[in-house]
Amino acid sequence: MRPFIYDFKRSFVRVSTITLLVLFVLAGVGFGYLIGRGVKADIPMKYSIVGVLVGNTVEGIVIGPHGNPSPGVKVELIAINSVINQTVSLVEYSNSSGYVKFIINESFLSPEELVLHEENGKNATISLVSPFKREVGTIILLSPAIIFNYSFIYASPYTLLQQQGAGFPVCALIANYYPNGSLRVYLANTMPDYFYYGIEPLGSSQSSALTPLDHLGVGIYSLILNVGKLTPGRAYQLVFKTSSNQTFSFYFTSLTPYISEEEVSSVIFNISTFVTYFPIIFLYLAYVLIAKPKNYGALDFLFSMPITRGEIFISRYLGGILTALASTALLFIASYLTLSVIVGVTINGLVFLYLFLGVFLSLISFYGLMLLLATLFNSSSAYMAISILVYILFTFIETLVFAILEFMGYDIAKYEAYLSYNAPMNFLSYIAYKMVGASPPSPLYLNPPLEIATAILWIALPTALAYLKFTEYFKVRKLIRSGS
Amino acid sequence: MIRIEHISKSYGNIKAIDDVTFDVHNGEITAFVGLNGAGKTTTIKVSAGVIYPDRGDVLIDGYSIIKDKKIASKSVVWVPELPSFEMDMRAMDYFIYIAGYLGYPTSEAKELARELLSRVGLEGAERKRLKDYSQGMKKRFALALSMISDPQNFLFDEVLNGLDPEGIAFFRNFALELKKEGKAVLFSSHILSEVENLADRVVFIHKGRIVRVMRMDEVRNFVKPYLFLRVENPDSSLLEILSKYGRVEQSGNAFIIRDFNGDIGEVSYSISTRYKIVEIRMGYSSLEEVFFSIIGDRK
Repeated sequence: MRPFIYDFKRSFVRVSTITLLVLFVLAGVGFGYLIGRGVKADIPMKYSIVGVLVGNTVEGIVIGPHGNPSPGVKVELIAINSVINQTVSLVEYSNSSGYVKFIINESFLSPEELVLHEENGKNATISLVSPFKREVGTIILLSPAIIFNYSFIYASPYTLLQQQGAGFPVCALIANYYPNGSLRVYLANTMPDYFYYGIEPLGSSQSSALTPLDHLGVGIYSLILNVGKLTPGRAYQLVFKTSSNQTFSFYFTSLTPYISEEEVSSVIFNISTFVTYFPIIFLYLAYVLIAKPKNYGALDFLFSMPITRGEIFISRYLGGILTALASTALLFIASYLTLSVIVGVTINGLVFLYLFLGVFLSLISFYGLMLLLATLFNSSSAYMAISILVYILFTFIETLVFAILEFMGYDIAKYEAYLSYNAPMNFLSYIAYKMVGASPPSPLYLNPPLEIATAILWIALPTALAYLKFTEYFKVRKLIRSGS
Repeated sequence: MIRIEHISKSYGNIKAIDDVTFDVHNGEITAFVGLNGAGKTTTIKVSAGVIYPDRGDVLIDGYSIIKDKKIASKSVVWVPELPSFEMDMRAMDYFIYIAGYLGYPTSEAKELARELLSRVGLEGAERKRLKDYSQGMKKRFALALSMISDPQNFLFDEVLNGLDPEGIAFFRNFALELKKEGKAVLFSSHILSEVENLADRVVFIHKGRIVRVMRMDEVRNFVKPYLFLRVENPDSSLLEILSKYGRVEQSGNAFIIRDFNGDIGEVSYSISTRYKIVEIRMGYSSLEEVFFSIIGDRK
């Protein structure tokens, strides 16, 4: 076994490391869950129905938050009885295919609204868009949001913002776009015919080539259409044409990748807490791997072996790096699972990568600093005292300096940016914020190149100095030069 | 062979060793003797590559412990008086860890560990944590670890301290075996008698400087005999007679003639007519006395 793997094993598989990590992961999951519930509560409606009205029958498919048919959703149809002039409700549950069906008594004038009962118990009332009195027509019922802004956001990996249309003989609900260029569309049709489809960017003068579909009868169809590569953020129209030359267009904007500001903030808040407190483990690791064995002479024996000091240092450094990597990965996996499973949203991979790198680099820069302190002090208790002091200073220095500046009557906002040059995480979390179009919590990066340079220095400098001290590099050079 | 060349080392203002130079030859056990704090451990630590000297160098089979650290360290074993490892680890794990540095895969390292730990009498203790090892076990473990690279040179620093008789016998016999195999052994002690039946040569160190290097037979020759005499009726003329044979010390009716240069029979004959002899015998100074006599010259 390579020694650095062993150093990693004994660094990572420690009661202290595992305990703190488990606490963070649990806190992360709990926090993600709470945020998720908050985010969920902010989304008024996560289910849609696409359906048709034929005669006195309403048939529909309930579409869930990921754009899939959703079973077990309670659907309430409220209609007015023209004879007794009273509102009456009909209730059905969507079956395992998300399918739901109502038979409307002829004495009812028309259904006025549908009520979807979501899993969290919250009711959402959807006004019918379809002019029911037409007796034949499609219905497509989206969240209440569409009433106001005609948009609907699916919290799926490939979210589509869609303009709605209803009451036409043909209606399409565009659910998902996949990286292989497929578009999932639920099509409600009341006009039996041969269909063709095509897709074109909105505003494009060229009309796209049409691809034939099968003959579609009255009903609801889940179609996977091959539309090729779509540009994120661009508006498109999906065109259906029948053999009788009728055309139906549906507009949507591909929002891939999309993540809400709240979701990023929740992840970053959790990660910031991790970055603030998890370095305690690295303070301890530097103690266990360098300060303590040095103090008790355990390194002496290693020095007597056919091993260079540089090899010992690098092995222990890499052990810590792998611990940082594994801990950060676990935290991110927990955060990812929390957000995707509990909250039902997926963060874009690149955003996650930047956040991950930010946390990982922050941890290793702190580890490098602790290694430097461990090599500087011969007494392990002196190391502990100084490293705790340094940790407190670095963690709370911004607050402290701000407090002093404020006390002295300075405009602290003016200096805030400069104080952020102390951790590699700032730069990468800033990128993550920017990528999702969110505002970073503090005004960073007046000078990005300087910020990157300081981030690199924070990682490289303490580690390099620790290496030179541990290996007594200059002393050895001097001895060799003096021809000993 | 270990060649220690003009090494000096200070800790702050305190000079631990000053221009220390001597050789440890193959097929020999070299005793390294000095009082506590004389500089033995510092010399050995420099020789083992544990600390760097301020000046000088140590050549292990011709390789510098500073410039060619890895090659030199492959040929030298260091067993300290109080070995310290990362004590939370199990012996087998620590062995595998160290062997990993030397390029051994885990399975081979395990096999080697069993072999070497068994050779030093630690079979069955492989899974124990190092903190549960006794001092003797730790020294044996250090020995086993160091033998991974099949070294030719051995540095034993006060290894007999704190050992039970079995442990002492083990290290003495082990050193003798190494000597037979033609290996170079440096055996440090602050008690000369501890190494007198073991060593071929003795290097005396005092206050950080080498004061003398002697072959063991020279050391023994250095030991001058004395005559012990007890009579019932001593008087002043007896002192006069005895002073012809050496330096006389009297304590009651007992006399010690130092640097005795006569013959016990002759003394006995010359005084037996006038004095009633209770006890007469030859004695030899202890090696400790020799040691103090040597360092006394340097005080």
